[in-house]
Amino acid sequence: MPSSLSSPLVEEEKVLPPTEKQSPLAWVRRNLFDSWLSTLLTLVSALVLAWAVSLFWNWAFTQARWEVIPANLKIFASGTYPGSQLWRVWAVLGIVLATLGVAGGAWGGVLLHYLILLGAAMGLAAFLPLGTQSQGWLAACSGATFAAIALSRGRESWRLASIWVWALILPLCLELLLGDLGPNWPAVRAEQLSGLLLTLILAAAAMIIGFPIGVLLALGRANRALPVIRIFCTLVIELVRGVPLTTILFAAWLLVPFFLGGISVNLIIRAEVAFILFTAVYVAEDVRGGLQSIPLGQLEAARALGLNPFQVTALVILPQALRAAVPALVNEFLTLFKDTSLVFIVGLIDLLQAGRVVFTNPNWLGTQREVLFFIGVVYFICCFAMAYAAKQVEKALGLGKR
Amino acid sequence: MTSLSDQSHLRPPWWRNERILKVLLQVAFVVAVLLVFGILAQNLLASMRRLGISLGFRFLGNSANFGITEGLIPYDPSESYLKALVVGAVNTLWLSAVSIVLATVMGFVLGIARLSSNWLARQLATVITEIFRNVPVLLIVIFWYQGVILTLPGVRNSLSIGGLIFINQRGVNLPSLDLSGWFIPALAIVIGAGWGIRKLLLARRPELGSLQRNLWISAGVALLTVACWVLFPEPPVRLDIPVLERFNFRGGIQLSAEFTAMMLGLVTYTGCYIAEVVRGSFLAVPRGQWEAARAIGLSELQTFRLVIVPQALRIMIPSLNTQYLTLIKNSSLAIAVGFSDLFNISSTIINQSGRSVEMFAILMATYLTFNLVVSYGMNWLNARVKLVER
Repeated sequence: MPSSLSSPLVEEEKVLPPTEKQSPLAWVRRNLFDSWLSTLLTLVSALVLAWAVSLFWNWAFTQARWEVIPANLKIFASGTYPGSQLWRVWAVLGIVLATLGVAGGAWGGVLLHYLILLGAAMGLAAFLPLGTQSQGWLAACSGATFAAIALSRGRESWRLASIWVWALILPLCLELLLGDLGPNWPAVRAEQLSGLLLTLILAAAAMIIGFPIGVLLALGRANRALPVIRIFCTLVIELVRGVPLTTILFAAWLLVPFFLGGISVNLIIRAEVAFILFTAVYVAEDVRGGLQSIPLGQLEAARALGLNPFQVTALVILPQALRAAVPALVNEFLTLFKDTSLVFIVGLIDLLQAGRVVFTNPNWLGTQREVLFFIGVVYFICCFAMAYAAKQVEKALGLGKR
Repeated sequence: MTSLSDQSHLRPPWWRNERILKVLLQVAFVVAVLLVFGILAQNLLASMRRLGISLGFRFLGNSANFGITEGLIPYDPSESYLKALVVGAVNTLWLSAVSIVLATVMGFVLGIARLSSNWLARQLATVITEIFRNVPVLLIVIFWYQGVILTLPGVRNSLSIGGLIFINQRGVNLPSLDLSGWFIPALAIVIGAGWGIRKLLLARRPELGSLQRNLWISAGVALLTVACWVLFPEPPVRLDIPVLERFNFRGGIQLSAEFTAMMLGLVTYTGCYIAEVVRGSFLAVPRGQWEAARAIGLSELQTFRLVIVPQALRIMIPSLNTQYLTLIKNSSLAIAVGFSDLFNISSTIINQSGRSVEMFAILMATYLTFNLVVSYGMNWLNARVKLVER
């Protein structure tokens, strides 16, 4: 028997691939000084790096007046929102975090990680000397987040409810921020929403409302059976995409009142409509890309199963198209978040504009670098967190894998 | 037994006939759209009547009466709104063109650095692109303007680079090339001579390799250039170096602080996006192409130049087009730092004349035209480099 012959006598040699054991020196030679070109690159990069770091170091630790940041935290966060009513903003933050906490507990994943991180950060910040009121609210928000997570942890049946509940929470938050809540707490004018608060509201509303409109526009543009609707959608998309956002905002500010026939609409809402329109047309193009990536066979198979056109779109085509469009959509939302800074055109005060308010204040003249650096870090953290979360979602959806 | 004509009652009734439904749906849609537009138009006309203004483009001929701080073409406040708009449009184009060229260069450098085998260059490029891609372009522009340029030394203490370039609070002064009346003849002589030498060499010394031939041609051209310089009564090209006078520099090209800030902001922001496009395009070239090119004996540089770059360019062009269009639209942020671009000047005109409807029509038409022109150019390029298929 051949097998008995070979097995005891000749020991089977397992040939493993050679493990790369590099000494640090070998690594350096391989990655930094591989060729004369590589050596040159290393030297140039090192010089640039050393120059930038020394410049930054010199500025950050000897010249910069960092006290401008803690002294103006309120302006960065909520701008001109009346100081006596600030508890409303804190309460809204607590409610939003708690609702997110419920969703995070039920869904798990990257949302849960972010919320734990955020809750922990707020809990730690509660120990900073920010004044008893802020510290108390920070602790409360942190507590609300963790309580909500603990409540819903592992309850998968809450998943859908944790999304629909926003339909209730969002109007409630808006009322809490702006409404007339009794003699001591009069209504707040919408223009007083400012700072980071305004940035977040503008971005969130534009995403939530602009996304479905964008999907409809994309479907309208892809629809070959209804040429009139197709032409209309194409026209809207191309016209809005061809014009800078600044112009659209300017139109919302100066042009729209002409068309409203005497009805006065709040400036924030007009600016928001501009952002929604802008988001919708860019989302439409991304979704159209997704729609084009779906093979025709899917449509034919769905029709063959007896689904009507509406069912074909809603149950077969759109889910696949949206999944394929996730990376592009995330980029769109990131761009939108950054572009909310353009509301300065209509005179609203968002996070960036609040920063400009701070460093044009006579007390803080010459602090523009510190302020802009701080605001840049805030934007960077938000964008980076969103991009990271999107990558996790892409992984979970198996994009590019199947 | 049912005859064919009897089956007609089996057909769905007209209100469930898909073809009729489609027509009805579209008619309803058109009616709804027309209704909305009708109401809007009526509102517009009503408010215009109330304000006592009428539609029309005749106001463009009126005198503008406001100054423009800088422009490529001469302008005087007594000239018309139309002239002011043209100055703004030219400024937008000039800013966009310079920024597009520099952003492309920066994008290629960063994008290729991110693919390099050198660890340090790769990390450095990654950090730079991540920083600039994750903050608003407006923040970058304001940072360059108020955080960097306005904090530079004044005109008297300008930073000088080699005595040629001077940088101060008011912007950048670059040397320019001054062409004299003798430039065209000199150019004609040099080009003609180069062409002649090439013809001569091809006819008399066909055994020369292309490298040797080019060396000969270059030597001849260089000799003639020097001869032109010496023999002409006035040098054909002169370097105009900015000179500090009492209040500011004279001569050379002056880039204002506002222009420089806008340009730097647009270049750093868009450059990092282009870096991503470049990186993605090179990664999209299949690895087998590298291996195959090396296997047929091309050197690494040849592989890159002859095999990889043409394919990567093909993938890159549509995305580059998008980035260029975004850059042109972002150039309207110039209003934040006070550079007189098209949008800034239009907003001044709207404030002065109250003609918002007409001005928006003009703005939309102009930006759409810019976009169409760039798209057309990029599509032409795309058609040139795209794979020729049967």
